Amino acid sequence: MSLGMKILGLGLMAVALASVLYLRALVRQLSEVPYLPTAEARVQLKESILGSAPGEPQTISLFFPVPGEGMLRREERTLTLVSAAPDRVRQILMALREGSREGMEGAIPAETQIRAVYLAPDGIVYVDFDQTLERAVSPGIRSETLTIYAIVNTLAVNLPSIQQVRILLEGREAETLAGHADLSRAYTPDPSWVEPTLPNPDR
Amino acid sequence: MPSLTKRASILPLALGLGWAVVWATLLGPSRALGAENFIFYFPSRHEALPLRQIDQSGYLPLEKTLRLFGRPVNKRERQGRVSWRFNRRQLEVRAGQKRVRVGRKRVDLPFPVRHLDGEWWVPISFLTEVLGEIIPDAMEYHAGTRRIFIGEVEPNSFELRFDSLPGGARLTLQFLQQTSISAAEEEGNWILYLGGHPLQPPQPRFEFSNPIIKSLAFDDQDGRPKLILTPGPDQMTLRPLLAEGGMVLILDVARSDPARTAEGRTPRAPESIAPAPAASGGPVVGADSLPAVVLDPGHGGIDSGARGQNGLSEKDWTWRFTYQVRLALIATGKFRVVMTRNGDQLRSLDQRAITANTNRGAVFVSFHLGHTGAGQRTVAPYIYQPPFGTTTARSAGALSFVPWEEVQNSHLPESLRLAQYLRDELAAIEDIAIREPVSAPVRLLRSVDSPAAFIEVGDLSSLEDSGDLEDPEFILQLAQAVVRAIERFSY
Ligand SMILES: [Zn+2]
Repeated sequence: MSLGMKILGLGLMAVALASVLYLRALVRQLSEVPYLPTAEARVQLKESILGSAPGEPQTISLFFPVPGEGMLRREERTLTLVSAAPDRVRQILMALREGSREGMEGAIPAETQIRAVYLAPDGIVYVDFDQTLERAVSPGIRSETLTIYAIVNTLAVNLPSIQQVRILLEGREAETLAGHADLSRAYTPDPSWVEPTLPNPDR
Repeated sequence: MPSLTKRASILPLALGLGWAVVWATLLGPSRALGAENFIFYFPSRHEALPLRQIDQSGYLPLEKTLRLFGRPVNKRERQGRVSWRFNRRQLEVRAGQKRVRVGRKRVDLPFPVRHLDGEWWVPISFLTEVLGEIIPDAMEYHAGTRRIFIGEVEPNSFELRFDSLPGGARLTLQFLQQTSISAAEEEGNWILYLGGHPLQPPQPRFEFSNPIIKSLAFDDQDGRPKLILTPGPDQMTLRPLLAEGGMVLILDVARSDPARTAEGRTPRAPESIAPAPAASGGPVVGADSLPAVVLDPGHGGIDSGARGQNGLSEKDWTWRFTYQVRLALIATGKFRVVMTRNGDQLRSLDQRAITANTNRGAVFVSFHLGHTGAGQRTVAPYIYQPPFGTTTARSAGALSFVPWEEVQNSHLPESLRLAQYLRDELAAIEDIAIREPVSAPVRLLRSVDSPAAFIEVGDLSSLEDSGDLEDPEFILQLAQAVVRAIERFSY
């Protein structure tokens, strides 16, 4: 075998290796997060933090529906956020999916998979959920709206670069979440769905 | 018959401007001497054969009739009798005789077979008494009519109501099945074509002793089912309105502008049969000036909506409840009520908005039942929350087009007033928690071109457990509260 052939062979191998690495990165970005039952959602969240370049621990705000009310309540968590913005969106959504520690209703059903996150340059984040979100949220304007605004407000409050949130189901634009609340629009965070911080004696 | 006719004319007078409901007179099938047809409705086709009136019965040409159902073979004709092999049976008839031979059986017809002008004629009852024995399909024939339905044909029908209105009259036809209609004007009559689907009218002709409407007749002699509306002698205007998704046809007839009477006696052709009544032109007649209320029972068909643990589905409850609201609204006599679906029917959110928008000026209320997590009786009224940054003001220019997604925006102040009235009236019900009206991204309301509110009753689980959802008193209380709110809003 000539030297030229050897160099060519090495070059091809390097290209192959590079493409495998690139494909792996791509797959990590695009593939569905493997299915995990409710109790393991937290483990999954921790793993995602460990697997990424760590930063400083921060306090983040999550929003959950108040049982029986048409409102969201803020809950705080300390989380070490990763640096890449799409991963950060995913990480915060996982924290929301993990559920309330103060007896609030779930915002995102625990079995829901986050299929993909895409940040558009105009400040709109596209979050693609699997169909579990549609199936597991109880159909009704109250529960659907609270699920949407829990997601939208949580992302916008913690990631200032996000102006609007667009929710997709199975990669597609849906008419509604589960028959009632509009999903054909990009949502702007709406603080009017959040309970005032001071307890209101009327409520 | 004369006494019924009298009732029809006296009652509306006695009740003055009231809602006199009069059932039209029943007349026998017409005995016209001219050429008539008999219509055979098969599942995917219909055929017409000439019908001959001989003595007391209608007669059909035998060989042509057999050919509609199969292939008669081995015809043998000799001295006053004819026979065929038909569907593996031997069929023989004799001129002037009622007796017919079918294989080894003998069947007696009520009238004798005739042999006229080289053709064999059998009375209509031959179809059910003899042919029914030979062919496997079921037949539906009503004595005295000139049509028969064969096999899996379910004919449409209707109920008719006559209302006398100031300066006019209204016919309301409630159909059994959805109907599509197109209208035409011919020789001083209005012709309403009822689509291609077969129809069995409750009677062939309704006569009215009324100066506005003379008669309403059904005719399908050319195989096209149609109604023929004959107005009184004055110049009249017809405003047809197909409502409730094609289940109800309202025919308003009124005297045209008196100045125009001189032009002649031809009625003006109907402007359109589209679900939307003409916005202007022609006098507004009676109940059409009543405000329309469009009621939307949430979900339907394969879309069950929310489900309870004991098998209750949202779509069934919203249908039952909305129907109660409908009855209570009609009982006030102040509203025209339109439903967005007929029974357990799947309709898209946009189709519901279209129903609302074809009844312009309507109040729109959608009813749902949900898991509100409240653990008690709750009612929450909602109005539409447009996407952030969309304009809510409609520009003043009459010709400005409003995007379909933004139709509700300009109605939001009125929608809020409607939702507040609903909240106030529902709050009066005992043991009920009521929320203040909230703006939410209710997709359904997005394109509704009228004041619109959305009601979510809950909590499904606890109401199902307590039996409240089946409690007629609770349902009535809810329905009456809704009606009071709509009355307050509209008057
Ligand atoms: Zn619903």
